[in-house]
Amino acid sequence: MILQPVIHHWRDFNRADRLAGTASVTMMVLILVALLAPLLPLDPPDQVAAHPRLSEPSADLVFGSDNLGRNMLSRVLQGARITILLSAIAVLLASVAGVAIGLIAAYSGKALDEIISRFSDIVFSFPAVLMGLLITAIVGPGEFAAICAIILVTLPPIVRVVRAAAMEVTGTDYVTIAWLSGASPARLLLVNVLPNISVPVVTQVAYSISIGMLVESALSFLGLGPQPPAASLGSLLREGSVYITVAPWLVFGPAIFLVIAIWSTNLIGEGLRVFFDPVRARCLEE
Amino acid sequence: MSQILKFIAFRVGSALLTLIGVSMFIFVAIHMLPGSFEDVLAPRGPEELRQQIADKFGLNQPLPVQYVKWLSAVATGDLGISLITQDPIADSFATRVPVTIELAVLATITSALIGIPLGLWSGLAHRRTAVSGIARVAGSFIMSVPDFVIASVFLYVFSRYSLGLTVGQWVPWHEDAIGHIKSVILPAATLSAVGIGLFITTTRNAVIGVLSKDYIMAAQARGEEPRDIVRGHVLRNISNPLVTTLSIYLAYLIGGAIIVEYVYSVPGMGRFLVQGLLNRDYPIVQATVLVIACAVVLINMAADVAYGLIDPRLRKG
Amino acid sequence: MRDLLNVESLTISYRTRDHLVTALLEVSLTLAQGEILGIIGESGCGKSTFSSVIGKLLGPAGVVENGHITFGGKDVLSFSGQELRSYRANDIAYVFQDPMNTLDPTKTIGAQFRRLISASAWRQKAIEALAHVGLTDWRRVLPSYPHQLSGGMAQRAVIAMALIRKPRLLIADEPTAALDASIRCSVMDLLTAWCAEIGSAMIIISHDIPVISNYCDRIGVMYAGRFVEIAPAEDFIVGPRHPYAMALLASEPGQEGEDAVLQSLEGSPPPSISRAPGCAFADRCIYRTAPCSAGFPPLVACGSSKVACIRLGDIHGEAAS
Repeated sequence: MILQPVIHHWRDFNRADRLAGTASVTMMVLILVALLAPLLPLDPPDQVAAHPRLSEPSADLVFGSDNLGRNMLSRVLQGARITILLSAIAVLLASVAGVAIGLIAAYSGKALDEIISRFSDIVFSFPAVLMGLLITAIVGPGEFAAICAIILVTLPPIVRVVRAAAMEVTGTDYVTIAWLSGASPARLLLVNVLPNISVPVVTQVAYSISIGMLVESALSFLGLGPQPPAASLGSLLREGSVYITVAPWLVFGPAIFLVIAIWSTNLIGEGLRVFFDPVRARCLEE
Repeated sequence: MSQILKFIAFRVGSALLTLIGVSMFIFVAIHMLPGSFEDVLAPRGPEELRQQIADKFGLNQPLPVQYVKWLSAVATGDLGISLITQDPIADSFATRVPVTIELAVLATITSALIGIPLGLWSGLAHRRTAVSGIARVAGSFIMSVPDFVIASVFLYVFSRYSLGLTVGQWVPWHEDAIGHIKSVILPAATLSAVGIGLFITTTRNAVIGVLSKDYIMAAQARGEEPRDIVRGHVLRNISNPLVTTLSIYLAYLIGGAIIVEYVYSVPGMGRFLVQGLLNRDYPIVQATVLVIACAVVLINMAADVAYGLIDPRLRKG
Repeated sequence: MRDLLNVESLTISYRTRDHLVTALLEVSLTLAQGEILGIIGESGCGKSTFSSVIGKLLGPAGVVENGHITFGGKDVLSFSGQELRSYRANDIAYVFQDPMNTLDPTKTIGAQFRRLISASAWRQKAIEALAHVGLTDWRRVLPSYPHQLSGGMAQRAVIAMALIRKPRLLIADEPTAALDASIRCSVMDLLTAWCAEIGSAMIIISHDIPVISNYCDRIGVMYAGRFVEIAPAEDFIVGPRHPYAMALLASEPGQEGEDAVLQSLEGSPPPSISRAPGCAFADRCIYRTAPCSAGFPPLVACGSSKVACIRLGDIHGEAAS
């Protein structure tokens, strides 16, 4: 029953861009499978010698087994859970902080605005992986470092988007009218501003999740993400690359999962952008 | 003219401010790193020796003094010395910066030459859905494959089947020119792949955005040739999104090529930084991060200036 | 006068993802050389579709389902390639609503003139054209970017660009809607004066009834993809015949009599144009009777006008009595 409006909106979304519609379903399935992995009839991801070491992929061992005889499918699902969860948590925090900071920048006067945009410029001057390296060096490798790195990398663009959208909304008549009719600032913000900046923010958040997964797996690939026995997709790729010539499936399993997750997220972001702001491009040849 | 000069001056000034902020950020970050110079140089040394080290590097002075000293040394080209090898860092940069720049230039040229025409073609043909759809799917797919995954695939293919390229080993130009080319191709191709996806996608979206503008319809209504509309209106008006893409990509190449350098053992800036971090060689970390971040600030400044030159509406300070 | 433009039972639709949306339904019209036709109607009535199809500018989603357009004896809808471009370049010209959107923001006005006139004398011609629209300060205008000009100046420059090649038909789609009220008249004055000078016919699309009535020879009223009334301007102003036209005029401030109240037109045009038989205005019409929803009312001659209403006699008979 609750799902009805969701399905209804999804239909519109899918009609506007079938690729993005498919990507959103794919992403849902990936997330569900990763979250529900412990309930699936699979070997536990940390059970060594469950299978012969370095078995090739087969019908009942889809991604093969690793050098300790662990089922790679179980490991990939567990890794995907860590990768997806870490980026989701980090992006959620970044979005809350980004909306707050962006609104402060937009409405708290010139001085504070200048400080905030200066600070985002500074943070933006550090490429994502470099920022991740610096942070892991300070707080030590692990989940916390990955979350901090994702937040710092995704925050400045969210702040910019929120600030720009909030400033644009302020100029519109309905906000002026609400203001003149004596709405309190809090009410103005909640009822008039937030709903009207949600579109660009949601699109930016979708892109941020894909950046988050990218940063997390990059750090893990360098051995700076979650530490063993925990393993995200990036750490699986790192472990697998040692055996790349003898057991390429150790790399291809996590790689396929990671690429599909990032690709779907990017397509969803692009689909949202086009869905909310469709353009009618002309055709030059007639 | 004076308006343009004023605009450029404003952008340069703004970049200088950001640079100062960036240097402070790095300085603070380095001081937050666990461990100290003494721990690295004399882990169990007597107090006296530790004191000497602290004096030598000025570690007992107040932080603002240390910061100013560091900055003025950097301004004269003195980036400090490595704690481990005692070599001046500037000397190491002299061999490492060219490697990173060589890869960046190769990757930028390749990906722009392949990605922009493909994106342009796909955007202009967006109504013939099959053609354009394939380009869109390909572009977004390539863009979504992390560089280390591309590198892993290349590593697998090129070490499994001997295809004549050097894998995982860097041959300097002056030692063996042919060998150098063989060792450059894979890292450059990996970096280019990322850029090709980026350029296809952004060019295509920019073209479709411009084609939906009224001035394109007005040009058609005046009977302009499609070729002239592309040359005269489309190319100019997609330039700004392309500059944005280029600046993001260059920033990635200068600082984010870390992983590709790591995978292929390329002795560039990224690998230097990772080694510095692993060895807790703080001056190396500090200098490398500073140089990379400064390069990114300059790239972004150049992009801001370019925006104004391309679109006169953005020339206000 | 010879006919310049002849539109015959033209039906246009736009392709959406899963169906066709009708925009024009069986529209027929003739325009004489040098004639000025005004088209009024609420938004979504097909005015803009009508104006853009004349230049074959519907865009990729537009579908011509039926009908013909002949311009100077040639079949416009069959034009393609070089033929189409030369028709657009030499025979017709457009002035759109918002000059800021129709001028390329990255090019100076001078550069945009230069794209129009390849001759080496482009500068002299551009200066003359600008003077024609009251922009004598060409030293400032030519090197300016569009955003550096006011809306009025930019629209004048657009008009100069449209008329510099002496088209035989100018199509102005809401040419003054984006301008300050104070300069609308002067822009319309120079537009019509220049057209008269070069003998160009004109189609003006507007919401602005005073503009239309002051400058046009004939007025067409569109509703739901059709012309419901086409009348000489002087007759139309004193007595529109179709109930929709009457309601439109009555809702216009300044048109009501001294002691009459300003009326508003209740409801809004149908969201999508239906091809079901019957008068599309019937739902909103105060004169509606049962036969109104039986069949398409055809445009029939009524004095100097043509009106599509089956109750014409009754309505105006009542009004007279």
